[in-house]
Amino acid sequence: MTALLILGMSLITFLLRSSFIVFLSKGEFPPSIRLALGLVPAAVLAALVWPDVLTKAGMFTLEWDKILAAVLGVWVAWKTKNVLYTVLLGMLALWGLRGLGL
Amino acid sequence: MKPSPPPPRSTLSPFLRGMLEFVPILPGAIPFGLVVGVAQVQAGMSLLESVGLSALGYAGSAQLVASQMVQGGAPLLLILLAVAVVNLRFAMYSAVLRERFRGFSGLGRALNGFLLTDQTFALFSQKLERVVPRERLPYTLGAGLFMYAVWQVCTLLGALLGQTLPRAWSLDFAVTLTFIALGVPAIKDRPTLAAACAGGLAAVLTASLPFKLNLLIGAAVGIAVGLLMTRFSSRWGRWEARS
Repeated sequence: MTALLILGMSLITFLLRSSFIVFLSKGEFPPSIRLALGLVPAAVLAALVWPDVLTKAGMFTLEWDKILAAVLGVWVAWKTKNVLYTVLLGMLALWGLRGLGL
Repeated sequence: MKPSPPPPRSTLSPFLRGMLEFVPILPGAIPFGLVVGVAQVQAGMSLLESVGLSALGYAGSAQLVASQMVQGGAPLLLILLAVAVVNLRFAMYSAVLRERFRGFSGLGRALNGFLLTDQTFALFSQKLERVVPRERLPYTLGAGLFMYAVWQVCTLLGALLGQTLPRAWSLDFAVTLTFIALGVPAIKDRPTLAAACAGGLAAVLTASLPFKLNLLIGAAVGIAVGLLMTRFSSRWGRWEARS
């Protein structure tokens, strides 16, 4: 079963990643699609991040240690554009807030 | 000691330059790999299976989701469906990068297709334009292969360490912070800000749906709202220009 999972997942992932780079690499996108593609990183990454911070097992939840650490992370990322600082300071904030019993 | 100035471009091979410019993004990939390695072993995979999934499947978020579903006893087809949903964003990345990769050989494009991740996408969408076209292929392979190697090492470490990594460290939050660090620079104006807020909110509101469908809904809602915002902004711009 795991072997099939590995095979299936590899195939699906490769096909999706290569879709436009390899298989549909000819042609130009019309301007409206270009506009939409420009919004992809912001929309997708937000859709990954927000549920991590604001939900638990699919349900909305307010865990203030996570929320505050994430807000700090956003601020650091905005100021520095640096992954190391963002991860480091965000984790320190989370551990600090947990240590304080928040 | 004063930091030495960056070497002139001509002395540094583009492959090496791709690796070097990827270094600042690495700190996010390391805890992510550890978390995924731990999750795969906890889901009951053997060390070999875990290594195989990282080497061939090679997609962090999907590996995490697949592990959770394997642990929950979900049938194979449903797991693969979830994997497809979670990884659908790569098709969008692929579309964004299509024109920038156009000069590459077939093999070069296939390798880039295999190696595309959130991290390398973030790098390429910000920095690739600054690389001379004929140096772009080795540049992308330098970054992509570096990420791949680090991912293999870290997921293996995670699988070996398994339960000995304390839960109290909340390493999974480091994954969230990585995505924050990759996502914030993508917010450049009102439409991208609107896309991030609307997409995030929609993903939270639909988080109880199966197969991580909320990721897809969040992406769609975010893009739609961002497009509306673009339209309003340009009208606003025209209106301002007229008055």
